[in-house]
Amino acid sequence: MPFNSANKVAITGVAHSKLGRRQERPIGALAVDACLAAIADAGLTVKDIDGVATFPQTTGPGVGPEPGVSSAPFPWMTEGLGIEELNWWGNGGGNISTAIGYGIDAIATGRCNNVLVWRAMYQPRSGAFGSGTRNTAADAAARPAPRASMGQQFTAPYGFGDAPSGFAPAYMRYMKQYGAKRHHMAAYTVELRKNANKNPNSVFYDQPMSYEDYMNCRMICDPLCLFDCDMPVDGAAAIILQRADLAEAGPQKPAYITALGSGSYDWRTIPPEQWRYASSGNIGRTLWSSTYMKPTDMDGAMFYDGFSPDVYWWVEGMRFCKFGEGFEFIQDGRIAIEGGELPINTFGGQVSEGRLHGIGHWVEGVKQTQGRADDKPGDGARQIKNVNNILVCTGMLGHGNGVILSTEPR
Amino acid sequence: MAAEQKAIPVPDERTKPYWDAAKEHKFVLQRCTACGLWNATPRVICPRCHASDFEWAQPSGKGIIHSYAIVHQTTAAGFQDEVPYVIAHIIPIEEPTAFIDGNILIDEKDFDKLNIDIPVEVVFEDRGEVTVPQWKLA
Repeated sequence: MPFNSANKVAITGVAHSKLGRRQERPIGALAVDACLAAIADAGLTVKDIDGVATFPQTTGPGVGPEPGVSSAPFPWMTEGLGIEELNWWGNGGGNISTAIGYGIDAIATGRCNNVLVWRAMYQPRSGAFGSGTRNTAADAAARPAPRASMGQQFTAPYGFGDAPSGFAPAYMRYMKQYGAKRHHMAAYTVELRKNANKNPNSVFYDQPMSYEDYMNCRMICDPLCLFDCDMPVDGAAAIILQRADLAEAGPQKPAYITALGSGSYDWRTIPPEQWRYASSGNIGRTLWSSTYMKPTDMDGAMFYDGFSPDVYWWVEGMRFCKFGEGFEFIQDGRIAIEGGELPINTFGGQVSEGRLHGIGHWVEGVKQTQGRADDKPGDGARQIKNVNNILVCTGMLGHGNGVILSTEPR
Repeated sequence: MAAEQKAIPVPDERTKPYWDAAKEHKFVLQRCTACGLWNATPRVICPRCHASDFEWAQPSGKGIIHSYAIVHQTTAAGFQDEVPYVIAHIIPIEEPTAFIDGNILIDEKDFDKLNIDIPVEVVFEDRGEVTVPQWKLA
């Protein structure tokens, strides 16, 4: 199915707020920081923004989603930004990539011209994403047994509930099925830490990680160790989608949206592992059928990594290798910035830059496409050489979108 | 924190037969009366045939481990002192589209016997006011 909106929309401005652990600045203020910086980066003002989109899910259940303080929802942000009039807005989806997809459609169908997309993440102050049937670090000692209703009655009594317990079984099955070992994953986690060490905005900028550090890391939910998990932060990032002809008139090189694919659902799938192929496999199927380009035309990829094993589902689902071969594909420097055939998550990914729930991948994909991924222009630290096309895919568990960002219309 | 802090299932109209049966050490699942699909947890409409009439029936109580993991650090209420413990997704032999969350009750010294696609059978763990179905290697 051809992608009729190819080349009609481009991403131009991008920006992060300051990222960090437990920042004093309220999350709404960080989100406004990122949005204003992205708008300025695109050479626009707030008055030029005629569409906005976000994925509003708060950091975790029970994290008081106090607008502006611990969340940055729509429409709170329209006030924070001082927006006076919009032609279109989108508020939802399953990942920031679905909000971006809605924004692409809105521009391509003529409903608006300049769409601001943001995502803000709040790090729980209690030390854990605790609530409901979970204990926070603070209240673990004293509370009575929680009551588990609805879906939780079948999970919480068994000690499921936090994110690692939801994702570790998928990784275990993958390892047992295909023979992947923990040392294979080191090729990803250690490489990404090197990338984060070249990214001053990442929470691990000053902290290298060796192969031994990774292999000796403590287990959280075996086979997931601490360094397989993404790193909670306070922070936000934003991107500006523009009608292509408007983008061409602005100060940044347009990163054209030249292909688009979406995740899907299948009632028969056994969560969590098959849900991941439902996302990555269907994004792969629909994205590659929307374009004449092939996986070998990609110069780099930004793949959602809430947990490091996501990379296996992505490289397989996006057809860079066969199913079950992902753990071998990422070996031997293939995903390295320098000399790699497919550099992946050149900013450090969520496991090493920080958990921005996908928007960090989009910012980096755009910067790589525009040739400005180096913190200091021309220092050669992070910028992939001779970029024509960058693949960006975020989402998992059914939802999500992937796009190809290209330096020219294709 | 102790085991008495573990989350207690609160049955509702749709799930009460499941927990009532467990209390009597019987494992039951909801089943579509039209096409026979077994549901891991209660549904209001059958995704295979779109019927909306269900009965509670007793499968064999045998299943396979689709996947599992060993929890070493958790925020799950009442489980902090239980680590390491095993969480698993069990597929009952009667229904490949159903998956049931539970624990494999197994000593740490036997963890190397765990694997995917190996048989398990249901057992029952009494926890005061409630009884929860659990699984052990068959």
